[in-house]
Amino acid sequence: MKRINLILYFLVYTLLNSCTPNEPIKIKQIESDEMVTIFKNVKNGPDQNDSISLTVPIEFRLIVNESKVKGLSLYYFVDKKLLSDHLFDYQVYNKNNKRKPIYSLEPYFEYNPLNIIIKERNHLISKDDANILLKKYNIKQSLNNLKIGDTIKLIPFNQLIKENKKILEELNKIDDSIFFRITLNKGEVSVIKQKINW
Amino acid sequence: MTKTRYVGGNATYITRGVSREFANEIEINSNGPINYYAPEYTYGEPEARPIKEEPQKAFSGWWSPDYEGIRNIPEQDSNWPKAYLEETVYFQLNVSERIPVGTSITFQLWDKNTPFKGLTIFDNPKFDGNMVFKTVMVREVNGQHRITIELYLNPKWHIDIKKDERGSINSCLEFYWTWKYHNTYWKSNNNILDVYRSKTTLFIKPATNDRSYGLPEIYANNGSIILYAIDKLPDGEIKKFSMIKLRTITTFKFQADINKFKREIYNEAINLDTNTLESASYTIEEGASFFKTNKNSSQIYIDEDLIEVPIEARGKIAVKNFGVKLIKFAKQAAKIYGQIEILKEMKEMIPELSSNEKFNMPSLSTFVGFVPQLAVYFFGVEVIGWMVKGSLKEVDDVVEESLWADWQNAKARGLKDAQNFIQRPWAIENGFNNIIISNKMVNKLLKGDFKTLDELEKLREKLRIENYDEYQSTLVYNVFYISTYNKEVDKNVVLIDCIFINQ
Repeated sequence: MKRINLILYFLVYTLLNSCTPNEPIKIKQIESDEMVTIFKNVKNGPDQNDSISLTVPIEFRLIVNESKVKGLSLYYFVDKKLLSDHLFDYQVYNKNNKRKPIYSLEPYFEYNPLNIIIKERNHLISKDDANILLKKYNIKQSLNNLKIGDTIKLIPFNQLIKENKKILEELNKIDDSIFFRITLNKGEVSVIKQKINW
Repeated sequence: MTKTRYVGGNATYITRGVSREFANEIEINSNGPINYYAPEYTYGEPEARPIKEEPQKAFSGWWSPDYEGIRNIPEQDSNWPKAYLEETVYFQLNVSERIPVGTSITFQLWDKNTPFKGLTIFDNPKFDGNMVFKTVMVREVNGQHRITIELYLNPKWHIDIKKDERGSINSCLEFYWTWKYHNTYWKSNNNILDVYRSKTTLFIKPATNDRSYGLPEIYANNGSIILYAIDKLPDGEIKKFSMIKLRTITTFKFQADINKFKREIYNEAINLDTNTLESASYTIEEGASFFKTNKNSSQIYIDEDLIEVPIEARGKIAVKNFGVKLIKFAKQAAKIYGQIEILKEMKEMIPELSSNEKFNMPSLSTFVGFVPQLAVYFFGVEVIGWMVKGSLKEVDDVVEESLWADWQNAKARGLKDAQNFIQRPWAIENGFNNIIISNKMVNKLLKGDFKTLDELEKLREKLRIENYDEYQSTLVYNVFYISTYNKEVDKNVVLIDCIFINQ
């Protein structure tokens, strides 16, 4: 039933690189050079003590035709489940200014292209795997002393997936996608589904 | 006026007395070092700028954000100070001392329509169809005679901003006043205030369409509807504040069902003795009457745990005199949300509530507060009206209506179902989403402290950074909202649909 609904309602699918110049928005995922980090999320509480969050950056390049787009919001699905609260599951940043997360995207349309980074915190890896990574990249910090909210910087994402096929496989196992909801002039809405390519 | 002075060589400025400078901001630029030489340095609060004395003129005015007229309007466009609808501004007018304190003068508000300074015949005196007059008395401020006109920038005037758009590029109203004194007409068209559309894009969709109950729909996590009401005695005295949990047993199919249901639960009288709605067929799961006020009597906290509040002395009197305890939800509740004074009275009426330690320490509380009434008014439309967009075909309308009914059913089944519903393609296309917030934030939300969803999210991020652990543990309110395009302002606005209390 869900699948039928999908076909019914998402009439607009934009595939990578299939844009015409008149399109209101172009969305392209690019392989990010942002840092992957280990993050002590609240999710790995006492019952998940042997695992830890791997914060993976996903980067999109958006080219927005400001005269045609009134609003843009995104919905992050992991394994067909909407990440309901982006405070803990993911955060969105503007690549040009990464100090603070951003919420509504409209004020950033002036950056053209606008590169957004989505830091996804929903992936868990075992502490053993995390320790292997720390050792491999000669990072001296320990997982044991991490407090909730603490992070350890690893290496850039594009390097990590090249050198760690196992992590790439793990990421690919889960169906991740982002829905971009675009409000066009006069309130017309189109939804673009973008599957995450790791 | 702008003044720039170029000096080829050195410039020296010598004053025998004190040299003072007043400005909105002061910038000093130097390519080399900046040196200060003095035996003593003092820093302090800025002094109010001296007011220009113009003895030959009877009036001199300016706009301010404060009644005292000390501060300047914080923003400016290229011409004038800049304000936004929904703000309150003040026009300050220093008057000649020959006009005695207590003299009352009537002012009329105008919107300047032409860029030509002297030309006023095309100017517009009507805002949302009405002329705005203010009658104000001359008062004394620091020995000077002054008039201060308070002006609430009514959000309904967005219609006039829209009208203005046709003729000119800048979409704002340009306000000035006219008045008559001693058979002479005066205009303040040298002190214009530019008024722009409200910055607010976050609105609360009230639970019912008739604008009488100002709160949004509030649910317990099992889908029970939580209603708040005030028990008001026939003589107008407020006896208690109540919360009732109500369970829906109907499955909605059409908008008409939903409307009927809401009319009943939010408008019908409820008999608290029998725990039944007077004319409806819904069962009340739990009913309890309790409230607590905190030290600041402008707030009432309603606890989630059901507590019976003994209202001893007064309670007895009340029962003797008035046997039937009826609660009219809508009107009384709305009055309370709008009138802080009643809340103060309430505290005095039932002092044991505010002095009893037991009731002053809410562990988990819901604030029943002020919904931004005007924000609600602006979008207080028939639910179906904004949901079914004009461009849709008839067949689609039916689909939309049944899905809208599904949304109501999902909420009544509880938080999990509501969360699942918003993941459906229809819901995403229609901008449904949710956000989990703490009790501190829900209080602010219901009081109308957030103008945009961004403001709410920024505060959330701030609280998270301050204390991750503590913040995480207070996330109890799951707020469902709908992002929808508003034609009037030509942008997306966010409507709070309902709040789930998840504990």
